[in-house]
Amino acid sequence: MSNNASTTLRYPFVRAPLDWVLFLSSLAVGGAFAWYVYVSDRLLVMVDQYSHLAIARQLTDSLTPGISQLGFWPPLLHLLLAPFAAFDVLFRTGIAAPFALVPVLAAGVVFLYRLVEGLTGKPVMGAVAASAFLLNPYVLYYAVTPMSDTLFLVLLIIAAYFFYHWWRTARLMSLFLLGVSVTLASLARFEGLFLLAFAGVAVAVRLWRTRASYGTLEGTLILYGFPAAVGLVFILVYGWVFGGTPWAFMVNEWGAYAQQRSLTLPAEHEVLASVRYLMAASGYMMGMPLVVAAPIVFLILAWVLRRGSGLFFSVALLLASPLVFDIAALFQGSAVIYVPELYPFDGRFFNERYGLYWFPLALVAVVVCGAWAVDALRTRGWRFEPLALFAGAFFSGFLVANSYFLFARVACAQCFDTVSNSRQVSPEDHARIAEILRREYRGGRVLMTRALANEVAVTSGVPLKEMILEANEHYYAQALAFPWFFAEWVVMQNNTTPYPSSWAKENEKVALLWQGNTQFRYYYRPVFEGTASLLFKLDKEKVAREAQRLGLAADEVPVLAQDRGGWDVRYTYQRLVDALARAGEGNAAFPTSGAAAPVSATR
Amino acid sequence: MERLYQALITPFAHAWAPHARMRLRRAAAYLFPFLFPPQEAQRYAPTYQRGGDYLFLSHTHSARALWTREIIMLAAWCTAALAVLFAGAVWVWDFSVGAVVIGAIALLYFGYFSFKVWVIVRGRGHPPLAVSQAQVRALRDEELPVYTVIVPLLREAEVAAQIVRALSSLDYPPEKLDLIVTLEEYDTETLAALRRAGMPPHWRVLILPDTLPKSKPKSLNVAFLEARGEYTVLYDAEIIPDPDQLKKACCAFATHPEVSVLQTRLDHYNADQNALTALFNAEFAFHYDVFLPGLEALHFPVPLSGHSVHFRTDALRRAGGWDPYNVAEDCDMGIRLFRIGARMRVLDSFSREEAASDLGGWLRQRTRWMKGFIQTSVVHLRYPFLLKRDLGSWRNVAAFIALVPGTVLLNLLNIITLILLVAWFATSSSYIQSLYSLPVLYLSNVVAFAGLFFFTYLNLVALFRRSRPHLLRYFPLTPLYWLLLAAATGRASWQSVRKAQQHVWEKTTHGTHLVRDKHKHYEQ
Repeated sequence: MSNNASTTLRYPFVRAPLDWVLFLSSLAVGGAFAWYVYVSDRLLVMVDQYSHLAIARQLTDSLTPGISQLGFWPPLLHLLLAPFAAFDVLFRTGIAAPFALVPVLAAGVVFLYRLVEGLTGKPVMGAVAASAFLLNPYVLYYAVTPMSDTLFLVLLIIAAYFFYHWWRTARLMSLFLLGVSVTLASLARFEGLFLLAFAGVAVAVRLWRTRASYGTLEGTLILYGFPAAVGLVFILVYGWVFGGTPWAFMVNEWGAYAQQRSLTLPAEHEVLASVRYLMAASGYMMGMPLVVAAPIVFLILAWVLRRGSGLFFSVALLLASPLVFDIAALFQGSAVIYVPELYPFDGRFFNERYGLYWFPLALVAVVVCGAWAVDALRTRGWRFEPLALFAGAFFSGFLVANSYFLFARVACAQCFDTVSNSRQVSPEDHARIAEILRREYRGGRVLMTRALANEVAVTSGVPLKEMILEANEHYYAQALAFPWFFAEWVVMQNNTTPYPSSWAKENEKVALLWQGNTQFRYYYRPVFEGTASLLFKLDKEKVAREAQRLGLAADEVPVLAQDRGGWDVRYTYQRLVDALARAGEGNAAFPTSGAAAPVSATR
Repeated sequence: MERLYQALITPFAHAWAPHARMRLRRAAAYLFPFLFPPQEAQRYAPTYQRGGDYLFLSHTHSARALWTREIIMLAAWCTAALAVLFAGAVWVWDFSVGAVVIGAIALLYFGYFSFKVWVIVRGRGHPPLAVSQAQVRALRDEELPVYTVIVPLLREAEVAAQIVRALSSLDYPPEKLDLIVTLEEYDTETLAALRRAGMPPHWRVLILPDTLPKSKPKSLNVAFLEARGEYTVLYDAEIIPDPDQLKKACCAFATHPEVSVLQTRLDHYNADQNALTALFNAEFAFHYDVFLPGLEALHFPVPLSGHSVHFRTDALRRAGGWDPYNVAEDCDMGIRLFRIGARMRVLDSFSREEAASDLGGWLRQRTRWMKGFIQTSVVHLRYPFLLKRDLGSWRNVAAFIALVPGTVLLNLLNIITLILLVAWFATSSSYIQSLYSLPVLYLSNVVAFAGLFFFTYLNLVALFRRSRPHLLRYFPLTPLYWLLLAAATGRASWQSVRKAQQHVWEKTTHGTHLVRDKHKHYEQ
């Protein structure tokens, strides 16, 4: 590692021709890879991919468009995707993702190059790290599909770069940009919340090493923390406003913690098991040679660098933050990983991508070790020059070859079997329902919960503003009370089969309320009955007769009216309820007066 | 607007009898008095009278009679135009009047935010005018011009020793220092305290005539008539300027003949006295280090500070001295100097003053400043086309509106939006919700949060750069400080419309830091 790196410490994005070369070549690689994944039909495979895409689209295309559609996932990916997902063709095919994410990947490659070049003082090492990063098939895959993993990795690298830059220059702008990167990282994945704390510690370490006064330490931490905490504050405030509690991102009913309670959690409350599962997943994501080599070179560096290497270890601290986060999550039981080597693998992978998050740390550790080896040999005289060259070539070759062989195996030979063979692959039923809707849908609203809306939302061709989902709050609550007055189609989970988990059965409200209900069955006929999901279509004739009996005009019943989009949530529902009350009828599940009651009943 | 009037009337003039033309002109002048400035308003012709109220300017350039017909009619026409615009918007988009007004407010906030960001961005890489120590040392005493230093005092016995110490340490030959201390006749206590503190013999004490108004700008005008210097600077009672400031100003004036005014950078020596002084200091650090360079870079008219501003005496003379009726005579002077073509630069030299450290004192001081901003706005907007002619472009007029009346307006709007926010949280009123259509809601939120973040952060950075990192801990109180600003502006507005309080000068009490034994910074 070199402390007198000859790098020019400026931070405008495009610094030198090499930056341009890296950026443009990364764009080209990303673009080509996006095309490859698209023609291989792997662009949209997992539920999460559909879900991210649907959320991004709902920001502009929904009964209630806007920020309320973001939900409790970290929102950065959705915000980045939104401008592209607004175009129908990009949304339906999933090509919105590479448009949004490939430039992010390219930026990450440039910043990784600059970080490593700065740490080692060797542009070659920067190029090696950048190449190894860019060649990793999963880094590429998650940069061309609507997933937040590569986005987070890039922001992690950018944060590390600005931290490094601040360490070297003490410029407040670098500290500010570090804070901004951390905020963006925490808006990309919750792993970013650990980065917030770890970067704070790293900032404090640097000041402590320079014997800064307490006032300077405090002031600097405020200057870092103020922009860095914006993401966390946004998440808390959003949860408070839209979920009723600042902790909605952790405790919402469809959150990771809630979902995974119904799964077997083999690493829960066991640190070593947590590490073992994560390392096993990393073997798939980064290549086992690197997983084995990284801790070894880290130990070597810890021994040979010891004092005077605060910068490297502080950068490593930042890059290690997602590793620690995921070990903590596995230990706590809010995350679970299923990989073939470890119990209880049931033939399908699950969350193996968590193993990718310390990839930048492993890369940086190996190249820094390589650079140290080269420097150490060169200082021994010219006779060691060939050996130094060999050491450099060995470390560089190791990294690039590791990524290359992984790429060849995963992307070419297996065509992403790990991804296709995941528990997160969209259920077959969703594809069938989407297909039926594509064929038979002629207008009208579709009622369903968001958890089932993923593939249906993206591929069915139904306009999203015709879908009634939880995030449409009042619309959803009112439609849930009397579906036949509002929704022409209903999608629900099949709670009579063992397929849905117990947690899903407890939280899928449409099925909870209406599956097996005779009144519901009177109005709706089943169109598709799968093991996971059901699709129903409304018999509008029956609703028309019911409206006539209640003395309601056709335009007073949303499902009979020719309008599109939303109905008036203040008056329409109340008129229906009043008409039912006049007829001495109501709904067994809901009170027959007050529009507000059903809303609260669904919370 | 005579030209516009002529352009409209001349084509038909031959068809009309002269008395009809006259009647038409009178009617136009009655309805649009702000378009017809009197002769006296069209040029600065100061009359340096000794005695009376010491107002050297014509009444049209003074805040003496504040709410004149011109400004009232201008406000009425602007209101009418806005009402028509709003009615049009209501008609076209089918929004409620309230929603249109809220939309307009959101746009106003957005515009103001963008303006400030633009100024700040342009200010980067535009350092203050620096004079090196070598340049200062190279100055020979015999080459230095006479420098007038005006020190207006009133009941400042508490800080008399500090004044004597601070101004005696000015590095300038005494024989070339024309230092004038003004005092009211009854203020014997301050005079005695100055003598006790060892006031040097070359200081001149000027006893003010017992005439109204009793204001700082009047005392400045009285002293100005006695000024002998080529350059003039004013220092308030509690100011501690850098000792080499006068020499630096001489160098800057000599090397930049196009510059007529030098604004120094202000700082507080009691910044860490309490949370209020810390926040006050952050505001100053932002203004002088971040915002002012941008205004200077963009060649915008700048409201000057009330002290530590160096003038070419000749420029002051052309400007007509200070307006004794304006309670923010500094702000008015900045605009007036710009109107006569005097150019301002920021001088890289510090003057340290005392930050108001108690809430009451701070509120009174800020009320006065904001009241002065209102007065300055009214005075300069009386004849908008004349203002445009003097400032040189509508761009500069817009900058003036953003900087002076805009500051007042935004502070007042902060009160309204805060009330709406609190009311919405308290009642979840659907009416308030209906006022915010989706685009307006997003725009308002983005501007509110971005503004809160951006300006608070820049305040912190400015503080940090002034080597006061320990004061950053008060940043969570920034929104509260802005609320205090809004309250002071509300108070100032109330005083401005009440004739009895329009010109009341609420004096700032100095020396509280000494009372609390916090003067160690100065001692150091």
